[in-house]
Amino acid sequence: MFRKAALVQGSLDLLILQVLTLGPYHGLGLSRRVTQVTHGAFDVKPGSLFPALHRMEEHGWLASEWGESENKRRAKFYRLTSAGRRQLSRETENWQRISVAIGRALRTT
Amino acid sequence: MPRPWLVRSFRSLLRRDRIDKDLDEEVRSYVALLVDEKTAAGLPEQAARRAAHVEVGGLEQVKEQVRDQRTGAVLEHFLQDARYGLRMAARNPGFAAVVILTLAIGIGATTAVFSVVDAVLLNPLPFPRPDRIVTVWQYSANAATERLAGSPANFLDWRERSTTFEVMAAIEPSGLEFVADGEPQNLRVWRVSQGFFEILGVPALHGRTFTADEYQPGAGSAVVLSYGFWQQQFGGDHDLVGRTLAMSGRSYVVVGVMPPQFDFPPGRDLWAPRSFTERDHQNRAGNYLNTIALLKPGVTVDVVDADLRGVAEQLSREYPATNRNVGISIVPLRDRLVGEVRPYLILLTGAVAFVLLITCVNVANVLLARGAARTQELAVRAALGAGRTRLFAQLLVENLMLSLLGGLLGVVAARWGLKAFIALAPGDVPRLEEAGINATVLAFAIVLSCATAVLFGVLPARHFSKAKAEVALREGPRGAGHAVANRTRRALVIAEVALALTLLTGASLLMRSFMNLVRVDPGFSSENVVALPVFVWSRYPTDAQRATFFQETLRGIDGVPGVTAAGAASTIPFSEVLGDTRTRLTIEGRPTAADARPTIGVNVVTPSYFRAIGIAVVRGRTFVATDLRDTTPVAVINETMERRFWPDGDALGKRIRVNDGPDVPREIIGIVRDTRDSGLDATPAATVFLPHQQHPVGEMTYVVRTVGDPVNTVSSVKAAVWAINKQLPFRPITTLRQLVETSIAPRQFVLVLMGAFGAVGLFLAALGLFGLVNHLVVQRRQEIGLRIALGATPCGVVQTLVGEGIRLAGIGVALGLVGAVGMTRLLSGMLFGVQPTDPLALAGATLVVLIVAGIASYLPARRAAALSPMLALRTQ
Repeated sequence: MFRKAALVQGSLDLLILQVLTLGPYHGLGLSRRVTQVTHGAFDVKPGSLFPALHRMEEHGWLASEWGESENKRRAKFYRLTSAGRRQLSRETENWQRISVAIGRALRTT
Repeated sequence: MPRPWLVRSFRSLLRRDRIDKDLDEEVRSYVALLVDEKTAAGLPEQAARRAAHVEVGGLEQVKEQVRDQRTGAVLEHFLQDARYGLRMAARNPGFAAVVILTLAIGIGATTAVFSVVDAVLLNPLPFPRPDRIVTVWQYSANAATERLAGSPANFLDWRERSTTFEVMAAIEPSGLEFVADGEPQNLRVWRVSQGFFEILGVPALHGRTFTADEYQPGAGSAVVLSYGFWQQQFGGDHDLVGRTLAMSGRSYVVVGVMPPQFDFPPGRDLWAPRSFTERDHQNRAGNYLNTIALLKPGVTVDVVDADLRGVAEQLSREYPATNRNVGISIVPLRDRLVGEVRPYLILLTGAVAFVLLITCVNVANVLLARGAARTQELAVRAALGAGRTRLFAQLLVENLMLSLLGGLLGVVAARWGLKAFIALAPGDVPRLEEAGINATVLAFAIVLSCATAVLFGVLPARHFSKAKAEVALREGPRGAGHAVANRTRRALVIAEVALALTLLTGASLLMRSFMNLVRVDPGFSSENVVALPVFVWSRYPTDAQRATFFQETLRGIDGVPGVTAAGAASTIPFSEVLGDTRTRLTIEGRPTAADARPTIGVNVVTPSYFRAIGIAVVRGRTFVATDLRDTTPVAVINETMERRFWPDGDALGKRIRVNDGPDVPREIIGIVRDTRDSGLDATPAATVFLPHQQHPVGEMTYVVRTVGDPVNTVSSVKAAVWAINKQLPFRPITTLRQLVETSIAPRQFVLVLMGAFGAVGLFLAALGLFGLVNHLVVQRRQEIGLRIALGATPCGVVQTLVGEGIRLAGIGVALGLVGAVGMTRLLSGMLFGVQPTDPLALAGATLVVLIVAGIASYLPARRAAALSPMLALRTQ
């Protein structure tokens, strides 16, 4: 159970970091954006989104501040920090290595 | 750079309120945005709101999930739960008090026993290289491997020829006479050979230990004092070092004082150098040198054994007369010192572990009993978003609070328990004075408390945290969950009874053994007899002088008012061995090789000894005043000796030789009753008695029988001896009764403790049963009321409830008996005259448990009978 959660968490982190390179987002905006960029493959529920955001903020990868949404509502916006950028490149590299390896494995066997 | 975990934990802990508010706002804003999104898509506002909430799930659950993710969560939850736990305890002081007191008993008893085990068995000896110090022994391969002290010549050869020891030293018990407060005293001295202090590695507190020169033959006038003797006799006078003391008619220079914790070998006043003379080099027959040695670093037991085997083989080739079949063995010093008490302490540790287990089961039971109230509360918390793991953790932390409070009180109880333990313990438990509630013991108590919390808390916590929230809320306090709780509680009560029964069985087996033991006839009568040992070799160097001295002093003692009989012997029962008490036997007409001659005990006695100590004559006669140096050499033997060598019972008139005293043929003139010389539980040894007049040894013990309490007569007896020689000191004086009591003290002590542990265990089990039946009465009040309304008699109701209690106890007893039979095998070394499966002991323990179970069930059941049906029916 722990393993599976960790895997999902890892990919969710990666997606959040990637989306935030486009600019600051609030929770709902981020969630919608993730669905969009993955063509609907990921539907991030608040139950996993918020824990992930708070955890990443604690690690210093994200910073947050209260702002105003397009439709004039108060919302908390997350943006990438430089530590977050470094983390993104690390995780991207990692992910690519894994996906290449798995792709290769799936082809050969 | 990520901040360290702990720093982050505390930061988020400190800012918790702000963060929580922030989180709340964030989640709300998320919902608001979601609603906006849905209305924008054309949904009417109310529908949009509902859809948004469905999509988000519970707001509280989301927030809880975030909180769980935060770094500080673990610590934060812990503190929260701890506070909550303490609040709960304060809100139910009765419940908390029961739990904490129960735990205090269990943890306190365990901690007290641990503090003793730690000091006596676990702590390294107070020497710098404790693991390399061993004692060295010789043994005879054809006698059943008895450990013997080394003879001087053998010791010297071991020291020279062995290659696996760094240093080897001999220790010989000795004495010096010293006049203190006008009365002659006998100081207990260890004569130690060069290397002794080096092996132990403890420097003197004041002054120094001996120099190499002081170990040379003829030099020996230096002494080192023990701290106790220095304090007691000289008030800790710092100027004493360098001064001379007059002892045994010579002067000795005090060169040093040892530190207080240096008491080795235990119980002596001072140390003096032991040098070796030409005679020592020839003496291979007298076994009186205790040997200690320091192993070279890193040598293994196998290597040492091989080394010593080689030395023993050389010696047996070179000196076949004395050393044929003589082996050499080592025993680690620690085993030698504490080996005897180890089985007792292990037994007590096992027993106290049982008490602790019963304590845990009992507390688990009490926790489950509070089920109804707790389940509801926990169900509410679960509905508000607490996960199962979170609830489980909360309950464990709550238990930990209770357990730590119990542990705190337990440590206080342990201090008190340890004091009682030391007061009750027989005087010769080594290293007991080192026991105390120190840092190790405190750490143990804390770890124990935590472990206890897990032990008693897991079951109830699992039970409650698993309860389904909806079910619990719907069913209320009488739901199906409680049937499970009741089942668990029954199982726990059964376990408690089983554990208590095992303990009680152990206690009753020890009790039976003890009763058997005190009923043993020691072969003499210990009432109103006092023993006064003296040592006169140096004062009266010739045989004639010693013979006369004892004759005259005994005549004097006989004249003391209140004395009914007085004799003297070289060895008396139940006392530590005074002289060399074993000899080789040759029976006339049965030729045997020198080394195949049997070894028997020898005791040199005066004619009136048998009457004074109350040893009955079986056949023939004992010694009389006319058995003198120039009359026929005679001997008296005991029954065991006759059975062993003259199974047909025709020993009278036969002639034997023993190599103790003049080597002449002696005629056996009498056979006396066996005495249990080395303990009530020891089998008597074959012993030959020789008349003192024909073998006047100088180390004797006066045995004086008096009309009343012999203690009142002691000073007059001493005066009678001092009338002949006013400088003669006495060694420690005891009554025979004291000697017998001391010999059974360890068993008595273990029995008392086992009995106490058994009683505590039984009490706790009874408490558990009481609680369960009480709970049944409360829970089934309605049903009972109905029954009574329908015509059941109160008596019948009580019977049903008590029957239930006894039934549970019965199952516990059955399981406990199986366990007891398994466990009491461990006791078998400590039993005397009973089998581990002794039916009387098992039946006795069973009966006690069942009676107590009956009472524990009857008390709450009685209340049920008093229930008024109307009242009972109305309560719901």
